[in-house]
Amino acid sequence: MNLIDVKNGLTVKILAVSVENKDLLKKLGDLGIKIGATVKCEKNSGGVIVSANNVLVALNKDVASKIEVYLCE
Amino acid sequence: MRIVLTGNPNSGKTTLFNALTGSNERVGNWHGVTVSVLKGKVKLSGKLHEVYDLPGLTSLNGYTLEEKSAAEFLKKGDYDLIINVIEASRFSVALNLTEELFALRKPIICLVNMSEDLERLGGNINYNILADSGLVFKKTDLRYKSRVKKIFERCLVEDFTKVNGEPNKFDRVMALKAFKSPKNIFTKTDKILTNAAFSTLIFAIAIAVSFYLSFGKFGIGKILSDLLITTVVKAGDIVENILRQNNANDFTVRLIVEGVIGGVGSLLGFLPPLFLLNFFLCYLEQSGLIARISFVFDGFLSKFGLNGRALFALITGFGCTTISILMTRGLENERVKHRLILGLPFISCSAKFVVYLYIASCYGSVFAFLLTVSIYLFGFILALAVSFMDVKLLNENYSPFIMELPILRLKCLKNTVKPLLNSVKQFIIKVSTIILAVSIVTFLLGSINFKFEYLPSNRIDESILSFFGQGVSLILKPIGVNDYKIGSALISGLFAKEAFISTLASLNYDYSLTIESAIAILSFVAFYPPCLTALGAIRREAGVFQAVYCFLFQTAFALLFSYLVYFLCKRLTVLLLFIFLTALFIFAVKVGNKNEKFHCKGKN
Repeated sequence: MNLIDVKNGLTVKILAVSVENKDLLKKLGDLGIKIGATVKCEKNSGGVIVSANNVLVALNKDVASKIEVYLCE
Repeated sequence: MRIVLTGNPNSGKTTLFNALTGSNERVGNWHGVTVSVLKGKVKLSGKLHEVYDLPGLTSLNGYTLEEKSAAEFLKKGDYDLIINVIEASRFSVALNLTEELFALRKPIICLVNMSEDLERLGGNINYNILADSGLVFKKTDLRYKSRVKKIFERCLVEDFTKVNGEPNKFDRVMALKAFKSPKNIFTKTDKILTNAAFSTLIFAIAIAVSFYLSFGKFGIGKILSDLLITTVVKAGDIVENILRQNNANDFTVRLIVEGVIGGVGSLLGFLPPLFLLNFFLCYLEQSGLIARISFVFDGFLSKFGLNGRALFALITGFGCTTISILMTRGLENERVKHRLILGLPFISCSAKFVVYLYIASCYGSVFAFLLTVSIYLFGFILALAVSFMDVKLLNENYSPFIMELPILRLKCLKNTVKPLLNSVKQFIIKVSTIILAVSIVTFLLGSINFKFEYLPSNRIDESILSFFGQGVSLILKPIGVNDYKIGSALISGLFAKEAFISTLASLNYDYSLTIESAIAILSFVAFYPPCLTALGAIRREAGVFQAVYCFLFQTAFALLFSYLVYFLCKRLTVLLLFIFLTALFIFAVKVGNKNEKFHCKGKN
């Protein structure tokens, strides 16, 4: 599943980030959104707010739908 | 020594730069406030140093245009010391950039700022452990200007000797051990403020309240403004009496009373509403609310080929068009940037706000309030419409949007006051320099003819100004304006929009406009080309072609739009009849369609 499918407030682990733009991919990595990272999600109508590496990162639906995750226990 | 200030966005670099160099560069609680490399000088321990403030960046690769320019500067290596400013609560992320800076093999001092935010959220940094990481980390508090220079001086004296030369090692794992992360950075308030419905409602209420307080009938801005204007008029009368009693010649009396006091003084009366409107804008920026609102509005703006980050520029446009154009550098997509620059001149800046109040107030405060709000709203809609047309013409796809949300600081009155006072200071400087110069030049041109002979006030129609003003007013004839004074004011408005008012005041304009003409002329002012500084900013950011295009397009649009507004206002009955007939037609078509469906169903 991708980030948009995750329920509010759940913590997930990132499986894959399939963003084509290399600069954007690097930027996401710099902010802690990379394969293997554990992030907490907060959904809203704009997209998903991810709490990763002590930073709040707002991702719109376009970007959030390209991040594959699985639920952590 | 050449010192470069760098670090992640929103870590406090420009605050440090301002404190060191005495500058008044823009600061705010959101990412991408600084969009270009700033240069200043500071004297510390008797030595003069050059200081460079770079736009914030998360890595040396850079994603947005301003991040790329900062990365380029750092990679060139044309400096002696790096000051890496780190926001304490984002310490772990800042270590990515710190590691990359370490690889540049230049002396580095890391200043850890805003520790109080981290502690408030339940985290902390152990500086004893951090000392073993190989780099110099110093806990600082950049909020207090008086302390900053001392801290920095100590940094250069004590720490620079330690770090002089290439740093030997940086143990990132050790540095991370020193950091105890905060428990939960996504607070309940954050949850509420990023809720689309709630934040839209808050935003709408905040705008309505700030507009009402600024210039509503019983708003404090209006009351204070009236008081100031009366004082200026009285001061003008007193000065005139004194000058006449002392046998000053007519030219001197008119120059001082009409040119200086009338021109410049008339603008000072608008300081209170401007102050209140700017307070609202500054609070949005300093509290971190603007970043949350921009995320909420991303989906909406994407329909117009823009993204959430564009909201920073759009809202800044309410304050100053030039700054908002420069802000577009924070956008990662060059096409989105150009599209936004096309729309920004439609947003009414605070200088135009003063013009609206000046003209519209003559027809009552309720009318002024409604007309000003309508122009603002319509300008915003037009800015979006221009972007929409551009995106449709190019048939572009929606661009991705990511943004770091800064820590929310709702109790930030102290931080709000600083940029607010700065904006007021800038207004007063502008009034006492550019506007004063334009007022005096306007007065002089209005007092002499082409033979350079002085003309008394009853022969002003023969002046040079009258000649040019009449030329401009020719195109305004269709909207019922046949006055060289308005034409002259429009010309001087190209230098600075406030000069529109100072010109009218120095020419003793008598408000002979009908209400329809007043609405039409304000529609023209709202959408005619921005001031020359803003056009210069467009040329710098998007090229000469776009600057020329903006000038021609805005002039043509403003003219046609003002004609249309005048026509509709004059023929209000025709307009209402047209709306009624259109509504009737749509209703008839819809009913017809329903009947058709019903018959089709019946047949089936």
